[in-house]
Amino acid sequence: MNRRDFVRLALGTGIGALTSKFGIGAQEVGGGRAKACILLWMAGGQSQLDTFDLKPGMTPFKEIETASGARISEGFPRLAREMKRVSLVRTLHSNDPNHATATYLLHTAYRKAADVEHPHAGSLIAAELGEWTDLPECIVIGCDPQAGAGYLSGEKGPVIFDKLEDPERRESAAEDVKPLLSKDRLRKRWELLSALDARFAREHEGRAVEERRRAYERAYKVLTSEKVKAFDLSREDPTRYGGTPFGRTCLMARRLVEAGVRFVEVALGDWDSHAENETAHRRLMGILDPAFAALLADLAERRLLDETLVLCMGEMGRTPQVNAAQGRDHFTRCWSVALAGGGIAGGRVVGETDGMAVKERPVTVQDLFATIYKSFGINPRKEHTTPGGRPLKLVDGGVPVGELLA
Amino acid sequence: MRSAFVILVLCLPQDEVCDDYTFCRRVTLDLTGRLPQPDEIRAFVKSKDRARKVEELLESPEAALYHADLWMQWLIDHDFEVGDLYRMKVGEFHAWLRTTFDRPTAETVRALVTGEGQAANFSRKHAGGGDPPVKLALLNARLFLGRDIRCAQCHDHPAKDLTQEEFWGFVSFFGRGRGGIKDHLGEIRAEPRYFDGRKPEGEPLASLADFMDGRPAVAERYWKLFMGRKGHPPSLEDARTPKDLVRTIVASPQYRARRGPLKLMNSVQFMHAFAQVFDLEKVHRDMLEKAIKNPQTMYIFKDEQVMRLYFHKWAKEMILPKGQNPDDVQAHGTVRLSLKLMNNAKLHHYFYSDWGLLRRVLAKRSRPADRLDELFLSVIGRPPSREERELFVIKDNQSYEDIFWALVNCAEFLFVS
Repeated sequence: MNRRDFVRLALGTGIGALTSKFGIGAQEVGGGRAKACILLWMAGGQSQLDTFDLKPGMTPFKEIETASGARISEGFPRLAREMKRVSLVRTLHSNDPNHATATYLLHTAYRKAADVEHPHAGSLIAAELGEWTDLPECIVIGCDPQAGAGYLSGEKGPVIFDKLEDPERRESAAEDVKPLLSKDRLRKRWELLSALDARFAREHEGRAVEERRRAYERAYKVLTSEKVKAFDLSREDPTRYGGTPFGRTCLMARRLVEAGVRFVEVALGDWDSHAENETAHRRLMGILDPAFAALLADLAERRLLDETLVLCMGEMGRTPQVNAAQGRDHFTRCWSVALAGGGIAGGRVVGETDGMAVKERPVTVQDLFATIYKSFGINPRKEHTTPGGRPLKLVDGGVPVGELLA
Repeated sequence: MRSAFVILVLCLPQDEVCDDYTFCRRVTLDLTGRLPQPDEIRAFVKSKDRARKVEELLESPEAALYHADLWMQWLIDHDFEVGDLYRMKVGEFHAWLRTTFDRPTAETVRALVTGEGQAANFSRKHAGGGDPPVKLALLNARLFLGRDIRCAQCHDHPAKDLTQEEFWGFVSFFGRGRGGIKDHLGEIRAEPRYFDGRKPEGEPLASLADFMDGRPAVAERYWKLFMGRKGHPPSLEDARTPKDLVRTIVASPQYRARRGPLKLMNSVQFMHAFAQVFDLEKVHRDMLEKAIKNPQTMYIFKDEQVMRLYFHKWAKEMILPKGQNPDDVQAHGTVRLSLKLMNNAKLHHYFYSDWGLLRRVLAKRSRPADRLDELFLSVIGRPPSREERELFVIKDNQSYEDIFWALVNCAEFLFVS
């Protein structure tokens, strides 16, 4: 059932409640409020001790007071003013210190295994909630999330775009969707293509031909949709977001969510500071702070924040010890995640560490993902059957973090 | 009525063969991984000598190169880091693989299982670090026994007649020389076992190589690759070398049928086709110039094989849904690939630039009808039909760009039919 069918059904049966800012509510399961998600992916692993979980004597950064009372790094002066909207989990932990497999874990809630590919959580959320827009349902900008369509069908996989580059350069994340041709010329080409494809389909039928056709039709729909303007930032002022490529991508994420994209992942890389940790973190916080703060304020102003879950996390934390190169290495015993909007209560802090390990209220990766699914009203225990016939829950184990849910 | 039906069935041509254009494209892609050139197509359609065409392609260096590309993909699996490639000495490894095209399959499999000579690079890739060599064992089982034993890593697998105990017994073969491996119970295992519980006699890996014939699994792999479906005829297992195997499949009536295999190009074919359509040599040079300025990517381009594998990895990611193993899924293209081919500015720059295929075609032919023929032949391997000649009207230079775009994006380009 696509969105239009759902609207028709909803109107037809009189159950349509067009109350949401997005037009129509998704299928409600268990009362989740989130309809979309923006994941700010801190690739490489952010140092919890220098960002959201400071301990005196263990970090060169000072702590600052925030609107919610939670204390965070001086590197986040603007975010500090938005902290009433943000909750922190300080005790996320795992035992996977490898970037690739940990990235997979933090995108799927599963350890990478040889026997099955798990889908990107964004693809699963989109598949659970149903089609909503002409644009791809799950978009990743600027990183390799390690997870793809998994056991879902191919066209449901995340559509990955390259990192947004300097404005002066022609290459950008939106490269493949920026109209190259006039609508007329594209339509003309599509007609030629359709004629060739019709001849081919007469000779050859079957699932393969059908699936390729579906992928092409979705792409054509994207290129001809009015919604593709969501990728166009030419009328926006990115200054508020810090004017950086990452800030511009966050602004794009907001526009994409407005256009009905379910899940947008935006990556900020280079947190893997094995050398010169302080310099790296000072620079990266300078990029993240205005972008994150502006995104929250912007979503709130547009009354989108209640329905948009915003997550800021990476695949691991960094060691309390500073190494000989003035860097911090991989650390998985505890690190921090920031969550806001979409049914998440703001201003809370879950869990306590002593800088070296969890002191109170550990939160597992499975707990975190159960919380994310729950915020969408999706039952994390729901099972999918893989093409190989194996039943798999969305999250295996894990309990939603009740303190976070509004 | 019923007898009329029987007569009708009997009158149908039993082994109707595909037309010359389809055969030429099918066999060139399947034997060399690349698209046929217009001149080759014309020459073949004139001679109609299918047996000679097959021999010509089999004897070309491209056939061995394609064979090596395929085996490389199977052996290194779908995920690798640049470090893996240097550790594997991919350049030398690829050169060795090229020589195995015309050598007995059994010998090649034995070398890979036991890790002799150049073949040792295979185990080197998959048995790094201190982990049990699970991946190496899985790949050996999959490639040379045709068995998918992944499930039994975590639990007994009744449907596949394999227990967890037997799984770890098999993995132990590949942990020799390092004091055994730790199994699922955390116990050190130094004693490898066959799936039926027997102990190997003599040196375990050599004994395992005797146990693993390899030829049935390789025959099935090639059959599936060529035909797009499972179920090879048992006679294929007698083929001595991969070259013989390929020759036998291509000679089969199933392969030559009019409605023969329909499959999406595999990633090696896509890599080659893409390189031909976009004039990849120039694209590489362009990339290289940028890479030299960037020390992080520079080292990828230092070694030709490493660069090719990176391009291959890219092609695979384009054509397969992300993270999928080509053995598990039949790829049908992705939204990402469609968007890129339809609308990527950089690719379109390559498309229409002075050294792109389109410009070459326009420079080579001057009459619009000849140009149209040449474009169709270059991209989809056949001339336009009468209806297509009417539909694909040429008004100006933009018309050629539109036609070229439609050809590169159409199903006929992406599929091997």
